[in-house]
Amino acid sequence: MVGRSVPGALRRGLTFWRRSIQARVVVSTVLLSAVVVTGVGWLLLRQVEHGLVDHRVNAVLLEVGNENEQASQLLAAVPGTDTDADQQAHDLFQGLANSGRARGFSVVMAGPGTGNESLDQRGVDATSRQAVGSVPESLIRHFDAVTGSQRSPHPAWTFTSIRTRTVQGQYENVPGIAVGTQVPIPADGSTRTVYYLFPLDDVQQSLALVTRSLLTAGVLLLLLIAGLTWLLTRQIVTPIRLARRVAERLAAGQLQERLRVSGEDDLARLATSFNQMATNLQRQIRQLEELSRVQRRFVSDVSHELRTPLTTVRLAGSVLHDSRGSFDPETARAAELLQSELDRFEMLLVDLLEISRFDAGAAALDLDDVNLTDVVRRVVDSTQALAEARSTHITVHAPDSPCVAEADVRRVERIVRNLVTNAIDHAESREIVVTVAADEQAAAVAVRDHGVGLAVGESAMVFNRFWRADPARARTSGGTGLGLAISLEDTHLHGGWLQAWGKPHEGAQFRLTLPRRANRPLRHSPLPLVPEDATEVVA
Amino acid sequence: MNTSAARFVGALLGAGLLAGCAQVPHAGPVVEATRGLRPVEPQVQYVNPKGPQPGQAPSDVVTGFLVAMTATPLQTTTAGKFLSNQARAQWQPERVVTYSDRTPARGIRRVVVQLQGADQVGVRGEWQGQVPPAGRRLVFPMRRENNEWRIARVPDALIVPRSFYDQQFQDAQIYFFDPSGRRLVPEPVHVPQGSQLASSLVRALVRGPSPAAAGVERTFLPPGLTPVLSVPVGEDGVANVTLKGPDPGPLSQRTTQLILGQFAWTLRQDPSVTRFRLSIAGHQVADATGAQIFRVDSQAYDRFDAFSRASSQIYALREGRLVSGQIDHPTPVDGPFGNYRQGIGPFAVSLDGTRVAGVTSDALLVGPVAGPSQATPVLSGTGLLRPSWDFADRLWNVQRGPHGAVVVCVEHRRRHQVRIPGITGENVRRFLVSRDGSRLVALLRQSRGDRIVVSRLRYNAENRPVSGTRARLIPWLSSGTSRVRDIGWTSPTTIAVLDQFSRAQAESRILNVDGSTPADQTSPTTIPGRSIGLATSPVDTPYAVLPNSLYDLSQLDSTPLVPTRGLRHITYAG
Repeated sequence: MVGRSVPGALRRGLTFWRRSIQARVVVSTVLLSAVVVTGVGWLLLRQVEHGLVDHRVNAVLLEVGNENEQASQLLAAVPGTDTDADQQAHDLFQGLANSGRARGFSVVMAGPGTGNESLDQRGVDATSRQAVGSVPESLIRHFDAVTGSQRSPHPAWTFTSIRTRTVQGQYENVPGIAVGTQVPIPADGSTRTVYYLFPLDDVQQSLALVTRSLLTAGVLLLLLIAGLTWLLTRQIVTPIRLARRVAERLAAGQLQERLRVSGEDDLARLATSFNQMATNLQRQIRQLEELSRVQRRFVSDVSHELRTPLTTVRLAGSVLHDSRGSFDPETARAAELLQSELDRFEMLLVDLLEISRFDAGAAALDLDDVNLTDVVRRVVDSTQALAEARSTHITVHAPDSPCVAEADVRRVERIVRNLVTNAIDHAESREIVVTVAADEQAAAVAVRDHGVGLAVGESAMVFNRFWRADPARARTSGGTGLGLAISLEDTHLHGGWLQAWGKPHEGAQFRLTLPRRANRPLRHSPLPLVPEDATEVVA
Repeated sequence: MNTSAARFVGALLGAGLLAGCAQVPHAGPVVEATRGLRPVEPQVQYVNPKGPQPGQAPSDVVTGFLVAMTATPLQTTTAGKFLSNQARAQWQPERVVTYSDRTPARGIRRVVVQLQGADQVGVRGEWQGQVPPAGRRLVFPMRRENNEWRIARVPDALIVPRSFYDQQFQDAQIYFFDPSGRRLVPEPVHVPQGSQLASSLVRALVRGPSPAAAGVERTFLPPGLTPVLSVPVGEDGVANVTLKGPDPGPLSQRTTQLILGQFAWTLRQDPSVTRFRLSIAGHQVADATGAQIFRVDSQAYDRFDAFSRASSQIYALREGRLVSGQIDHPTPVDGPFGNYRQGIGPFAVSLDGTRVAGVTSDALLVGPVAGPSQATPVLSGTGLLRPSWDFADRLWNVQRGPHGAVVVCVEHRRRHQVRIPGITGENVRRFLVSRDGSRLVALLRQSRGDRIVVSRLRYNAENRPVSGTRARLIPWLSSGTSRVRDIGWTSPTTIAVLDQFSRAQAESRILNVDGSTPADQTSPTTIPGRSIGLATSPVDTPYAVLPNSLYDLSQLDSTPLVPTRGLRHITYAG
C-alpha cells in the first residue's frame, strides 16, 4: 500500500512542482536564502568564536600577568637570609594555588628538567592530579628548550584540553588555555616552571548559546522569507492564473470572457492588452464564422437549387438513355455518357447536401446497438463485385463474439463502405484485409490495403474535402472526393476516431474506433493504427 | 531536482557542517607572550658579588664567602655556592653578626678569621650585644667537592661588616601587648631595609616574645603560625600578610582587634605600607565592620598606645607650688599642690594629668592636680627618688636606704616591693619607668663611673608587678666625667642621657634601651652652661633644664633658650 502510495505522492509532488511557479519561486528563494543565511551565520559564528577566544586569551594573559606581578612582589620581599628553596617554591605555589581556587584556574609547578622526564619525575606541586596531566607536552618541551638555550624565559601559552571532575564525580575534558612561566627561586637561584590552566568552558557555553541563537534566528528568518515570498509571488501569480483560466475559456470558445482590470500596474496593462487581443480575435473569428456560414449556406443553396433542374435533366437523360437503341452508335454512346455523369452529379449533390447538413449542425444520430462485424460483412458483400472488377480480394478478420457499439448503423455502414471502396480504389489488385475488434471501452474496424500507400504527411490530409493524393490519377470508383470527409464527420458525430496510416508502396490502413457507449470518452483503440506487417516500428 | 538545486543543497549542508564545527580549540601551537605579559622577574641585585671561581684557594673561598654575604639587596644565594652541599643544606643564617674589622682569612683545611668589634642580632632581630670572645674567632673547616675547596661548616649567621649592616639594616619595633592586653609594648628589632622590611617585621612579630619576656609582654596571635614566603607590598601600599599553620578557629572581635593593632603598629614603620590584609590559616581576617583591608594609621588602634591619653603640658614648681601649662606661661593648678606649699621637691604627674605624686623630705605625697581633696602620703621615709607613673596609674618609686635601693610600686594605695636583680640594693640615683610599664631604666652610681641599666618588669596574672628581669647594661661611653646628671625618655625605646662633662658644657646623647647604638644618634648634643636635668617625654619636645631656662634638644642647628625664671623641677607627665 505504502509502496504504491509513495510513488503516487511523489508523482503528484513533481506534478505540483512542474505546474506551480509559486512553489518553485518559494522553494528556490528559501534555498538561496538558506545558503546565504548559513554562510552569514557561519561567518558570524567564526567571528564570535574568534572574538570570545581572543578576549579570553587576553584576559587570561592579563590575569597571569597579575599573578606574575604578585609573584615578583612576593619574591622580592623574601628575606635574603632564607635558604630553603623547596619551602619557598612550595609557599609560592600555595599562594598561586589559593589564587587559582578563588579565580577558577589550576596551577602546576614543576622543577627544571632536561627534556625527557615527565612532570612527575621533576617534582611537581599541583592543585590536582588532573591538572598535571592537562599540561600540554609541547609547552613542557618549549620551556625545556628555552632553559637549554639560555634564552630569556618569556611566558608562553597554548590551547589544551583540561581534564576536570564534574559535580557528578565523572571526568570530562574541557578546552582550556595553558600558560607557562618560569619563576626564579631566591633561596638558591634555581628555576621552577609554573603552568596555569584556565578552563574555557564558559567560552564554550557562550559559543553554544550564540550557535543556538543563530540557528533559531536563521530558521525564523527562513520562515519569514518563505512567507514573504509566498505572499509576493501570490500577488503576481494570481493574476497570471486568472489570465490562464480566461485564456482557456477563450480557447474553449467562450470568446466573451475578459480579464478584470484593476489598477495601472504592469499586470493591469497586461490584462488590458490581453482583453484587446481577445476582442480582436473574437471579431476575426466571428467574421470567419460568418464567412464560413455564408459559404456553407451558398453550397447548400446551390445544391438544393440544382436538384430540381438535375431531376428534369435526369428524366430527359433517362428518356435518351432508354432510347439509345434507336440512336446511331455515337449518339447512343453520348446518351450513356450523359446518364453516367448525371449519376455522378447526383451522387456529388447528395454528398454536398450531406456535408451541408454537417456544416449546419443538422446531422443527428439514430443510435442503436450495432454489431460492427455484421456491418463489415454486409459492406464487403456489397462491394464484392467492385473488388472482383478490380481483381482484388477482401478478407475479413473478425472475432467470434459480436463487436457491438452504440451507434447509428446507417452512418457506420457508410463509413465502412467509404473505407472499403477507398481501399479497392487504391489496392492495385492486392488483397484487402478488414479487421474488426472490440474491448470493454471501444470497438474498431481497420481496413488495410497494400496499394500505393500514403506519403509522409498525407495521412492527415486524406480526410480533407476533395483531396487527392495524385490529382492526375483518374477516379475510377466513381467517388466524389467527399467520402472520407463525410466519414470523418460521421465518426466525430459518434465521438469516435477515424485515423489513417500509410507508407509509399506499402499500402495504407484506416482505423475507425467507436466508444462502446455513445458520448463516452475514448482513451484507446482495440486495434493498432500501424499494421503489424508494416516495416515501420513505432515506439 | 536539477544540478543547481543539488549544488545549493550541497553548499547548505557544507555550511551547516562548518557551523557545527565552530568550537573552542583543544590544541594549538605554543605562542611566546613576548609583549603584554610580564614574566616573574628575579630580584634586581645592586651589589652582586662573584661566586666561587675555579681553582680558588681555601682562604679565597672563605673571603669570597664573607664578601658574598654583602650582596645588596640581602641574599645568600651566592654565598651558599661557597659551601659544600651538606653545609649549604644545613645553613640557616637567621642571626646577624657584625664586625668593625676582621683579619685576613688564613689556613687550608681550617681557615681562621678573627672578628673585631663584633656584635650580634638574634633570630628575632633583637640586639644581643657583643659577641663573646670565643665567637669572634671563626673557624671554617674546608673540604674538596668536585676538585674545588668548599666550606664544610659555617655558623648559622649572616656575617657582615658593621658599615654594611648600618646601611642595610634599620632599627624598628615590633609590638606586643602588656600582660593585661591594654597597651602595646614596643620591642626593638633590627631588620633589613627596603623591600624585605615588611616581611622581616612580620616574621619577627609572628615569632612572638622571647621566652625571657614571659610576664612582661604577650602576643594575641594564635600559636604555631608562620608567615608564608614573604609579605609583598603592592603599588597601592597594601601589604598582604599570609600566615599558615593550625587553624585557630574563629577569633573573637576583641582578639581580632588586638591582633590587627599589633600588625598595624608594626607595619606602619614601613613607609611603603599604608594598608594591609591579614590571612590566618587560609581565612581572611575581617574586623567588626566586615572590612578585610585595614589602614596602618587607623585611629581605631591608637587606644592601644600608652601615650594616647598622656598630657602634653609642662609641670613645674614655682615657689613650692605646682604650676602647669605652656612652658612660656605656666599657671598654678587649683589643687592641694597648687594652692598650698606641701614642701615637695621632685614630683611626677600621672599620664592623664589628674594626679600628682611629690617627694618631701620624709614621705611621698599623692593628691589630685585639681580639686579640693587633700594630698595623702603613700610612702614614708627618706631617700625617695623622683617617682614615675605608668599607663595603669601605677606609681613607681625607688627608695634609697642603707642596704641600697628598693623598687616600690603603689597601686590603689597598696604598696608592692619589686625585686629587680641588678637594681635592687644598688646605688640608684635616678630611675625611669616606661609609660607602658614594661621597662625600668636606672642610673647606678658606681665608683668606676655611672652605669645605666634596664630591666623588664614582670607582672602576675592579676597584673600586679612581681619582679624584674636581671638588669642589662646599656653601653654608654661618656666624653667627660662619666657622671650622669639626668636621664629621660625621648621615645618609647630610647632615652636621653645628660652629663655635665665640664663647667661650661653639658652634653646629651640618645641611647637605645636594647643596648644598641642608634645609627643616627651617635653624636651627642652639646648644651652650653650648667645643666640641672632633663625635661623629656617619649612624645614631646625634649629639653635640657638650665638654671633659668630650657634648652631645646630637638633643634640641632640653633640654641633656642626658653626662659623659666622661678621654675623648678620642670617635667612632663609620667
